[in-house]
This record gives sequence, C-alpha cells and structure tokens, in this order.
Amino acid sequence: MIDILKRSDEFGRRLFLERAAATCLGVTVGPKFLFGADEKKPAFDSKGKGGKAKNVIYLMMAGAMSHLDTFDLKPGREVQGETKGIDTNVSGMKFGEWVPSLAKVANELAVVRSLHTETGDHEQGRYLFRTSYKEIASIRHPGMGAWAMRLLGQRTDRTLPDNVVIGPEGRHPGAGFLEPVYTPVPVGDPIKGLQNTSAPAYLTDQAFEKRLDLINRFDAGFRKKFPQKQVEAYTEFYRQASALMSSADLKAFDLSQEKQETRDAYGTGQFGQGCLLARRLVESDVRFVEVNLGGWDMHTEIYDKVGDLCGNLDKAMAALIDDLKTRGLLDHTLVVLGTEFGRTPRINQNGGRDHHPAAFSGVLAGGGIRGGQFYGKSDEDAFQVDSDGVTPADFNATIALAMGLPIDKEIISSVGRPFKVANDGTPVLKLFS
Amino acid sequence: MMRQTFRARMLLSVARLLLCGGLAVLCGDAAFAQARPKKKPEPPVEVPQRKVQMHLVSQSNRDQVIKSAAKIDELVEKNYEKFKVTPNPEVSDETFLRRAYLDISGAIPTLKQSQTFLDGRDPQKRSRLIDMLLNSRGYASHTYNYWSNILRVNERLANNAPGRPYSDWIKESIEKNVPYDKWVFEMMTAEGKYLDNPATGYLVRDSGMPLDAMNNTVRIFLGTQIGCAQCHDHPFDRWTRKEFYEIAAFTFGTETRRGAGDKMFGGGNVVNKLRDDLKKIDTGFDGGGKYNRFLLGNLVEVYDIPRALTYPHDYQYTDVKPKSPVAPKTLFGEEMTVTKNERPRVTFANWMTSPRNPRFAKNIANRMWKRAFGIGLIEPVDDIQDATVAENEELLAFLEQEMIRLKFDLKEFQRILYNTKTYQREAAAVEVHGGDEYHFPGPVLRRMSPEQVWDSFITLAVFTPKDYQVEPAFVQASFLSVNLGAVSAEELMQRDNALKVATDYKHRQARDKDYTYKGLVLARASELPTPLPAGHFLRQFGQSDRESIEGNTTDGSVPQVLQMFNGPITHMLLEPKSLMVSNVMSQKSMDDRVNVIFLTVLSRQPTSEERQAALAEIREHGPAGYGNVIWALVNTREFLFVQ
Repeated sequence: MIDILKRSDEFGRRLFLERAAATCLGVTVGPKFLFGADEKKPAFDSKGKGGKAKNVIYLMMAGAMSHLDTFDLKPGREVQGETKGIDTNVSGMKFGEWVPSLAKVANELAVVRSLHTETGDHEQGRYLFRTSYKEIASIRHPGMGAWAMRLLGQRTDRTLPDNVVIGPEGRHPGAGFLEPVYTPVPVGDPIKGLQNTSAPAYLTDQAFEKRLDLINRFDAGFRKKFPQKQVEAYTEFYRQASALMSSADLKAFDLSQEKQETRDAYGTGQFGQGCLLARRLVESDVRFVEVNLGGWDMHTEIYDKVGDLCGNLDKAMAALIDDLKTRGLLDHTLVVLGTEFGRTPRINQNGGRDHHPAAFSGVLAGGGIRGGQFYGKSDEDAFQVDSDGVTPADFNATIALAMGLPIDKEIISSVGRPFKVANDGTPVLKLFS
Repeated sequence: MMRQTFRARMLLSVARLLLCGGLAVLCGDAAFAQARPKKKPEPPVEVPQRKVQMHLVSQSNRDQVIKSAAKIDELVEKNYEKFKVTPNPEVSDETFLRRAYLDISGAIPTLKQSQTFLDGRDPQKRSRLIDMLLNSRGYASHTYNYWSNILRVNERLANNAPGRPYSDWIKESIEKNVPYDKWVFEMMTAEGKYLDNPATGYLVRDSGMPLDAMNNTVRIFLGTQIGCAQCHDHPFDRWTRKEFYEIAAFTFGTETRRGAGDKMFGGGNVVNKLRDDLKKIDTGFDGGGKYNRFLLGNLVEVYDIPRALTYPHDYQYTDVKPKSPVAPKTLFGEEMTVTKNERPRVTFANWMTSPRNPRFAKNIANRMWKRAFGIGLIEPVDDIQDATVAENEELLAFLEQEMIRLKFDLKEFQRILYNTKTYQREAAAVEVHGGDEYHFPGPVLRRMSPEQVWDSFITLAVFTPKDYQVEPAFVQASFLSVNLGAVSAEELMQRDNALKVATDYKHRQARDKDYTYKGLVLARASELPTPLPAGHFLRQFGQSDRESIEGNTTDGSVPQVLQMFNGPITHMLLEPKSLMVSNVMSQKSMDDRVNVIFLTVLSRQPTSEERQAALAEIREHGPAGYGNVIWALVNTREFLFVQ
C-alpha cells in the first residue's frame, strides 16, 4: 500500500539525503537540492541585531483590528470617521483616542503601519500571521511558538510548558507538522487557569503511577495497530500532564496569587486577565505565550463598539508593558500585537468597516525593539501601503530575529518538504534598537 | 435519571462497599441529584418538552440500498486495482458495532446494546443495526452537531434574538429528515421574524454582512471558495471580483432587521414610544435594556427590498466601472434571469439547490462520504475548483447521481454508505490527511469529535441521557413574539413578567436537577448551549467557538488529558450511582466483572493479557482496583479514537 511505503520511504530518503549532504556536500539539505532550483540565497546578515527576546507575548486581535481607529490616523480625511487623534508621550506620534494608556507608553512601542496581505478571510489571516505560510489542505504549518521551541530545543529540565495559548481559539495551527511535544497548551479561561491539575485526594502518587501503567497495558494493542502521530500525540500529552501535576511551578497558572490591584490594573475581563497570566508565565520563563482578543469584526456601527474593545486592549496591553518594565522583564520579553488584516478606510452603509488586507498596523515592544517609532507608511487614506511594506512573513522574521532564531534554517516536514520559520521573510532591522 | 428500583438500591449499597475502599472521597459527593424524600414535596413544576418525531427508514428499500452499496464497492475496487491497493480486512463485529454507534448515533453503545448486537445471530444484523441507528434520536443529535459546527449555531442569533428557535428548527428538520435541497432552499428563502419563521435564522446569522454571507453560503453549500474575490481576482482559482459581486447581487436586497420607524408599525419610532410608555407604568424600568428582547428582538426579520448592489468605488479592473450597478449572475451551470415577480434570492436558491447545479449535489455527496470515511473524495470539501479531480471520479459521479435519485434524502444516502463493504473494512493503519493519496482500503482512523467524546462519557455514566431536553424554543417564543405596532406597554410588561416566571430558577432546576453533577448538566452535547464557556469539557476537546465554519478540532492537548485524568466527568463514572458501576455490580465473579468493564468502555472483550492485568490490579487493590481499571480504560487512546 502506498501509504506504508511512503512513510518508510520518507524516512529512508531523508536519512540518505542528510548523510549524503553531510558527507558529499557539506551542507544541510535544502529545497534547492531537492528540487534542483538555483543556488542558495546568502544567509541574512542581521548586523548584530536581535537575539535579546527570551520570551514572547503575542496579542492576537481576532476579527481584524481597525488600523484607522487605533494606530494609523488620517486626520482631516473622510475615512477617519469619528475617531480623534491624541498625543502620545513621543512627540509627533499620535494614536487613536481609544488607546490613551498605550499613548502613555508609546516610547516603548514600535508601530508598523505598512503591514499587508492578500487574504480577507479571518481564519486564513490568523493562520498566515501565526505561521507565515498560506493555509493549504495538505499540510499544517507550525505556529511561531512551536517554531521557537523546535529551533531553540526542547528544555527537558522544566515541568512548565514552553508554548501556551490563552483564550479560546479552536483552529490554532499548534505544532503543525512538527512533533506534538511542541503543541501549545491551551488555557481556555485565564481566570480559572489550568484546570484539573491535581489528582483526587484518595490517590497516592504510587496509585497514580499504577493507573498510568494500566493505561499503557490496556491500549498497547491499539497503539501497535495504529502507529500514528495523532495517537502518539496523546502519549506526549500524558507525559506533559503527569509532569505538570507534580510541578512546583504550577502556581504560575494561578492568578489568585496576584494582588487585587494588579488584577484590576489589567482589566478584569478574559483578555486583561489573560495578559496578566502571560506575564506570570513569562516570569516563570515560559517562552511563547499567545493571548487572544476577539470581537474586532465590526461590519456594522463601528463607533458603538470600537471604544469598548479598544479600551479592553488599551488597559491590558499598557498594564502589561508597565508591569514587565517594572519587573525588569521588558528587556528580554517581546510583546507583539498582531491581527488578521485591517478594516476598510471607507465606512460602509451600515456604519461599519469591512475587511481590508491591503494596509494595516501591528505593534512590537520590548525584547530589543526600539520603541517610540512608526515604521512604514500607508497612503493618504490608509488604503494601500505607501512605503516600507511589511508582510506577515517579514513581521514574523522580525520576531524570529528578536528571539535569535535561525531564520535560514530549514526543517524538513514528514513529506520531505523544507520549511523555515518566517517563510523567508526579511526581518525589519530598523525596528531594533 | 437513575432508576430507583429496589434492585438498584441493593446494588448501590454493594457498590458503595466495593468502591469506597479506594474512593471514599467520591462517595461523599453524593452528587447524582435525586429527589430527597425528606423535604415536603412541592407541586411538581412543569417541564415543557419538544415533541420529537423521528423519520424512519423504509424496510422495503433495503434491496435497493444493498444494490447501490454494491455498486459503490465495485467502483472503489476499481481503484484498488488501478493503484495496486490491498483492501483492509473486514472489521470484527465488535469494531463494527462501536464504529457504527459512533458514526451514526454519535456515542458508544451501552453494555446492553453491545450485548444485544454481539449475541445476535441474524446474518443481516449489521444492516439492521444501521437502520436502527439511523432511526434513533442519537442520529438526530449527532447530525445536529455536524450542522451546528458548519452553520455556526449560536445561543445568541443576533443582538436581543436568542438562537433557540433556529436551532430547534434545525433539529426538527433533521428528525423529520427534510430533504436536503428543500431544507437549504427554505433557509435561503425564508421570510418573516426569527420567532415566527425560525428558518430565517440562517440569514440572520450573518446580519449586516451581505457579502460575507454570500461567501459563506457558496462555501458551505457549493464547496466553492470565492472569498478572495471579494477584494480582488482570486489568485488561485478562476473567480474574478466582478463574479463575486454578480453572485452577491442576488441577496443584496435581503434585509435582516426592521427599522423602529418602519411604516408597518404605524409611524414614529415605535421602540422609543413603547419605552416611554413602559417607563410610565414600570417603576423598575429606567429606559435601559430590560425590554430589548421584545422591543428590538421583534425587529429581527428577514425581508426583501429593491436594493441594487454597486461595484465598490475602488474597483480596480477595467471590465466594469466603479460604483456602477451589478447585474446578478450565477457562478456556473444554468444562467438565471430574475423575473419581475420573483425575489432575487429565490432565483438564487432555485439555481443553487437545483439537481442541475454542477456543485450542489456533488458537495453534499462528498461531505457525506467524508462523514462516513473520514476523508473526502475531494479535499478540502469546501474548495472545489474547475481543475479539481476527485480521488475517484466515477465513484463521485455515481454518488451525485444517487443523491439526485434519492431526492436529497441524506438519511437514505448515508444508509447506502454504511452498508458498503468499504465502510465495513478495518481503518487505515497509517495516518491520512486531506490531500494525501488515499484509495479507501477502509475508513480512516479518527479521534472522536468533541461531541462524541462527551456523549460517550455521558453514555457510560447516565441511565437515560436521551431524555434530557434543553428548554424548547416555544417556551420563550410564545411570550417574545409580539406585533410592535399593536402591542401595549401593559401587555409587554405582563409578558415580560410571565416570561420571567416560565424561565425562572425553579423551572431550570426542575429540568436540570436529575442531570446535574458538580455544576455540569449531563446531557447530550446537542442539548447544551453553544458556544460553551472556554473551560468546558466540550471546548477542551475541541468544540468550536462558533465563530468559524467547521471550527471544531480533534487535536489533543494537555488540558484534555488533565480533564480525563482528574476532571469530574471521569470520576462521575466511579460514582456508585453511575450506569458504569451498576453494570459492574450486575456481575458476580471477578472475571465477569472485568469482561463487563471492557465491554462497557471499549465495546470489546479483553485480551488474555489485558484480563490478567486487570485481575492482578483488582486482586492487589481490592475494590479500589475496579475503579483503577475503569479509570485506566477510559483514559486509553483506544477509547478516544473511532476505529
């Protein structure tokens, strides 16, 4: 049967190629070798930038955040709608009135106003930002957190996960084609934290081990019959779950350890508390934490909604940056604000803004980023990119460089195709200090 | 839920004795709610139920079913030969039983159901089981979950419009087995208030987003992605931006909300007027949101106005002018003309749901195939392109033809698929994804859907889970539906009060009390609200947030495993009053008990090694050993996968 052949064949071929490459060519196997294309692109020269961010907190704005009402204002233009600009603590930098707290930490923020993609589909937009690749049926690409773990190496001396996603997100690409060990641990409700982490009181440690042993005996036949990644993934999750249950660091997931005033400062909703949880996790050196905020899909009556949602974001993100700074974590923690695409400059007949991938904004802060700057420009109506366009791949390459990930390194998927973190995007060096 | 017969009570006390050795903590919970005899009984609170009438498959069709199934096998086998594929062996009765229950009725079989099937001697028992399951309420529940995931069914249909009328309507359509083409036609063409004609829910779901709504409709029912063309010509498919606008023009005149100043309400702002009147008579009303379910909810209505779509001002191609009006035009197949007396969306619905539409029957046939086999003949199922070649073109053509012959009777269509030899082969040993080369030597191994996991747990624990019903839509709709133009403030106030009483804590309690365990309602997933809170068992196992089409996932995660290890649902099984424990207690010998545990949890007998391991565990730990064996079995990977 073809599929069986494929699997063994794949392994054999990969091994052959790796050995052949090592012995004969002295290079790692790449797409050029496999597909006979022209010579390798020279390695990216980072000019000594990047590598400072040990941890990343990625704030994902699901539904597509309006750039015109937040970070890319066009005062005096009809497209501006009802939003007024306000001064920030950096002269010459103006934000939308809905993010007054972020305006006070603008000196920490590098705002990219020239993001652009080609997709106006929410899921595809998120997928692209999370993976740098376009979503296709035949393979799932890894998210940035999984990439980071894979490229930096799994840390075996820790019981806490290195990749966490906070807030509900059903279709996260997770570890993609990488091993299940890199799968982010989802925390649906940050206020509840990680649930069910303690075994029933009547169970001794020994009894628990005994139970695990029984599981393995009872489905040995099944696992032998179906040696599939989707099955083996659970084996990895058993291991991680057991490790977590005995972890001394579990309190990192417990927001009740925080003072009420701290909790209030972030905002008491799911997103605010999610950001606080992200800070706690980063304090415990969790490498990659994503926090989701939905509700940006404002096709109707945008000015009834944008204030509240921006308020949510503003409070939480500003508190996060302040808090990280006070604790001395901001230097090595990169905070990212990403979304799917922007929203149409022209306000539609329902008083809303529709999907607009041609120009929109994102933000980077901390982790070696030079704050207090706008990078890139959109045109007079924030419709198209005017200069210094940044694709999701470039944006992610910038994150990767900040983390010190080898952006040229190829990882071969199980079907023998090579992939890179950030999909050959070019890091934006001007964003670094 | 738990039968309180004398025998059951006897068993109960034995169970306590047996399990409490190791599970003292659990027994203290006594959490399976029971009417306590001590309190003076209050008059029973009425719990209204929606009447369920299941459409039954016809026995007289059986020969035709078998004939069609054989034809499918023949076509599949052609590809075995062509691609040198050895088909997988036929599954055992045990595997078939579990697979059929999960695939058709959405949960594992109970011990009794397993025994009945496995002991049966009828040579046609597989075929009969398929019929029985297709006729069961489990089929409706499971199929509802399937569509609910695709249609993004939400408890909140729109602001101030609860989603229950629409979801009940979907359930009833499935129960009655309304032909798929008629069902879709009804959704596309429904008129009226969401309360009076709940089929309007489909269009209300994407209120205010007419272009996205069309994009979703074409994706769901025609398996075609035109979304990119909303902003620019599709980069990988043939769709132009012009074509997107042309198809969207059919439904652009469809409104989903009346204005408060609509003439039909007699002039003036009817909402403000009623608010003012209410302030005068209701001292507790400050003009806020209290009556919005009435005042704004009754504005939620689907109707058509003559409104033409125009090309956007930034239209970037030269084939038409920006801001010029768009003439509706179909994407493929028949050209349709909108006649004067027909609403454009009716024209559209006629075109879309026609057997002559080149992708309507194909899409649903492919989706149903995927449902049975785990992978479509075209993948992804919602991205059919002109150049798409199905895994087996001849087979897909036959399936389309069958779909049309059956007049879109999905139940009958699935009946054929489940009766094939192909379906009744062992699952593929290797992992297969959409887009991989796969020629169906058997179905694909799949992790259970989130709802299958949950419903299977419920099956293990609760005696009669199918008896629980969520509050039917009519309970609230009968109060909520008013004519804003005619209703008085007094009547609204009365209705609001009556609604509060009908849905108060007492009523909720009466409905839920026998099904509540540690704050969780133990009912089939189809009877729980969606989306559930992010931390709920179903969400942890991948149930959608109902924002994306087919947002369910079947990926594993650490919180799932923690839930299985330590969560209340696993431990509920070990409660003395659970069906699981009752099954164990129904046996006397240790050997038989082990058999029954395996049969209940995995629908199969233990192997001799497994039996030895289980017996050793029970001998070593006494009563607690049973608990450990049960716990371990529900935590196996085998439990979570559909073979």
